Amino acid sequence: MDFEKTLIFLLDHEIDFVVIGGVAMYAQGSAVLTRDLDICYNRARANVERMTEVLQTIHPRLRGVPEGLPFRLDAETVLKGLNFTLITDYGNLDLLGEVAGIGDYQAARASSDEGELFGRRCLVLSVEALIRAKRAAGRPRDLAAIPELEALQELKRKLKDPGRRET
Amino acid sequence: MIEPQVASIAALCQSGLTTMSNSLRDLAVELVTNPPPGSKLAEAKEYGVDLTLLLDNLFKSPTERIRELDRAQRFLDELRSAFK
Repeated sequence: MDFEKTLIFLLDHEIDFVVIGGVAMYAQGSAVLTRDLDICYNRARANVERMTEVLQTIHPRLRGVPEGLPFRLDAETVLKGLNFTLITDYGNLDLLGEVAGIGDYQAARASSDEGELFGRRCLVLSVEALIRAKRAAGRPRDLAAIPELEALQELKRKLKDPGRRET
Repeated sequence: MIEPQVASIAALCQSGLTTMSNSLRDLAVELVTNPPPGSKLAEAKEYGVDLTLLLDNLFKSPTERIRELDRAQRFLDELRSAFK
């Protein structure tokens, strides 16, 4: 898995997306390792067409299905579906149309922090939204991530405003 | 009394990886070393979260964090293939 290469690829091709999941957690300061890049993509047709076209160049295949199963990632396929777990030449890439507890791309965008990654502007889900998403997903491994995220949120808050008293 | 691991993180901060002021760094180290009772930091420490790792990450930029994640992945992949 090459997160840097994948993120630069997506950003340079001007695909509208928000980084979510484990990479968003790590980018925000978490210490939990992850093996795939999850993004919430904009389902507007123009973005889906651009995204599927450029992804063709890194050979997306469905992950965890029998070898040889026919699959073509094109705009029609994406618009008929929602979430796709892929493996590409750069590694595991999950495309999510919606995030549990958050909603679609527009909602994820509104709950994200815009910052600089590899010299490019990038949207990353906020710590507060990551906590909401983990709580909504509700699986044991999601719930197990919450104490660290809450600590991270508190630490960031206290460092941003050292004089603030917690209630 | 600052734990040795935290002291090493504080030393790392001095190397210029962050623009955080010295007083904020001291506060960060103190919060991680001695989380206020009843705080989320204290809860997380009790749960088993290594708060020093969070501190370490906060002293890096998001780009540095993702590059570190890539390095960790490569190391784990090499480790895994060595024990196949």
